[in-house]
Amino acid sequence: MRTKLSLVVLMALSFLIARSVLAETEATLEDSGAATQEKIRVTATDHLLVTNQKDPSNPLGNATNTLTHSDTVRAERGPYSLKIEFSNRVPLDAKTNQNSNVKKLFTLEKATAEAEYAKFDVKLGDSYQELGKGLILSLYRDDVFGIDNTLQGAAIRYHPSGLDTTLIAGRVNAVSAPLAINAVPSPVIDRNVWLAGGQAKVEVASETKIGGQYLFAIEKPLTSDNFDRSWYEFGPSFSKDGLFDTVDVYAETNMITGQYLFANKKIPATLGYGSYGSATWSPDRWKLKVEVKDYRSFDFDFQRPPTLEEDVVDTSNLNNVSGSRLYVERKLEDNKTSIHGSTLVGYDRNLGSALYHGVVGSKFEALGKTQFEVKTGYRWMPGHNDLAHASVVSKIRTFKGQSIELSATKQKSNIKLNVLPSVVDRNVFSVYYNFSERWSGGIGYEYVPSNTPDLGNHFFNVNASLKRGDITGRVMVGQTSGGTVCSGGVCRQVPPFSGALVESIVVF
Amino acid sequence: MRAQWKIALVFCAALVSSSVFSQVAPSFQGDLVGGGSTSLHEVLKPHRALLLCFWASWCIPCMEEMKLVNEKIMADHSLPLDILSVNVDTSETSVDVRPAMRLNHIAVPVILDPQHQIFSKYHEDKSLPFSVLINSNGQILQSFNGYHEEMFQVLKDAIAKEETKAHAN
Repeated sequence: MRTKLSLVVLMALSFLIARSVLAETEATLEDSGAATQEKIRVTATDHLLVTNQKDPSNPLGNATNTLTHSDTVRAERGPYSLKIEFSNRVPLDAKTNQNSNVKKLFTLEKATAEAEYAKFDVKLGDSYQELGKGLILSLYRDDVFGIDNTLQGAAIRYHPSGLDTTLIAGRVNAVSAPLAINAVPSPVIDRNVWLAGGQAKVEVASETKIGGQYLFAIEKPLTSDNFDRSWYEFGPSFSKDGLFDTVDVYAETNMITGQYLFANKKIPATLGYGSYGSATWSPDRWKLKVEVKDYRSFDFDFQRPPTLEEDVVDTSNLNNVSGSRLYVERKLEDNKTSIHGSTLVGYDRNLGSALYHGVVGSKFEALGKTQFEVKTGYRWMPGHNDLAHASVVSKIRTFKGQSIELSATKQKSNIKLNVLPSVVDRNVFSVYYNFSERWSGGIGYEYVPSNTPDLGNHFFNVNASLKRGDITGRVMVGQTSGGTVCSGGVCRQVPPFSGALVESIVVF
Repeated sequence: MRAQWKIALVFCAALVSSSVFSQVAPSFQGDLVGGGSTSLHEVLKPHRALLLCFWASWCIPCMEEMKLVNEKIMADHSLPLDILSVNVDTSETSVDVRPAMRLNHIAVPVILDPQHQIFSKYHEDKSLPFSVLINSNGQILQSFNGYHEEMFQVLKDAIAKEETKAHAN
């Protein structure tokens, strides 16, 4: 225990010393009158998370104390930059925590060397990549779920006027010790996936681009030297902005094919298709958007295609579903009020069911300068499930620079996917008082009457956050109910949380 | 109990050290809405500060902040200040960027950052709206987390303080 903590302390101190040496370098160069672009600039972010968490499946057991820490240091000089990110995850109570997977004393998570010029840039090491709208590839970071997938290899982008091309090659690298209370297991951990591909867009007329994207991926088990799975994805894209001044159009269609080894025989994988299109008309004070998606057996783990359902809810099927959505928004003359509505009609091929989702909402100011945002909707898959959701968020200004934020959300779903229908009823309330830009505090309450008694029905938590200069600190003590959580169009089931959370972010 | 104290000690060391160093603005390069690209090096001009505003089409307070930027900050030509905004809509909502600009009459130049390559360099927390004021030497003078009506006055004060400092040197 003592050794582990000493190690973390030493690492933190060595990081601070290294930072101060680099800062001296920066100051020396600046004092010598070097041009702005010749300075070495160093930025560093220190992120610390301490959790005291109970196992939801064993509410009577001891809590687990875990410290997770990560540092990102970035140095740049002119067009060149170097960035490293490392993490430490230490179980603080070795006697009660027998899970050796939790312990990662030091992990070099990411390392990137980058050169950015006016017309091209080169990245060696880890970089986030997306081809098209993320249908064929999306390697991204999401802090809510602790997802942080990068391409570990090389990426070259050449973008002179009227042309934009990207070439990538390398393997997928997932973060090993994410700093997130809702961290979900990455599909990339314990896998060995290699990628090569690229995209090109050519401006054929004013604000009109045609392009194409291609990806080749192979995978081999960690225990084998042979690749046993491959994917090929490719397709064209088109975009036109400012058509008749107020219309923007985007369309992309892709095909996926590949093969896998089974009993030493190469078996062709199912041919899949993935297409997305949108047209947005935004004359003065109106916005009308039509979106269409058609994903058929478009199955690749490293994608993040548009869902058309960012509002909610349980978008677990992203690869075998079709849908279209109409969204209408009207902003009123006072510039403070807007109303919007959307309707989605689709078909989920995995369940063999139609899918309907309607949402209406409004943003307005009332009762003095109190801001309200209300939204409600109903999602229905006939014979399978339905879900009603509603939310109210309001911000009441009190004294100068101070406000109260109130929010209430209700989601009630009837799940009849198997022979035993069940209901999930989740009600979340929170009250925050923003004392100033620097600090706020509040309480949260979640009521889940549909939970079984061992999981509990009432969840309370107390929160506080403080921001001072480049330091942000957060504390949360209590419980959250877990359940379906959505972020950036991706939804995951997360376990309930019970315990304390201390989080700090320091930027140097 | 001793373990918690050691953690607190590390945390305090980090807090103290952070106050010793001033923060420099990370460099960036991005594509502009309407064509072309720009970089921090290009937009920083001698004796002028830069306000970098991060926003998204779905973020209501961001639109309020952009309105303040349009109506008050851009309109005050006496301020030695340039403004650049960075849109952080992901590919899921990137088709909404131009309509949001039209709907809210956003007149400042907009860089697209769908993969948050610029945003993550500036704001680890990634909450919106977020703005930073950068001086002509590339140092961050002030950051604004969330929308605040008094932002305009704070900006003016920070720029005035910077000008006084420059004259003194």
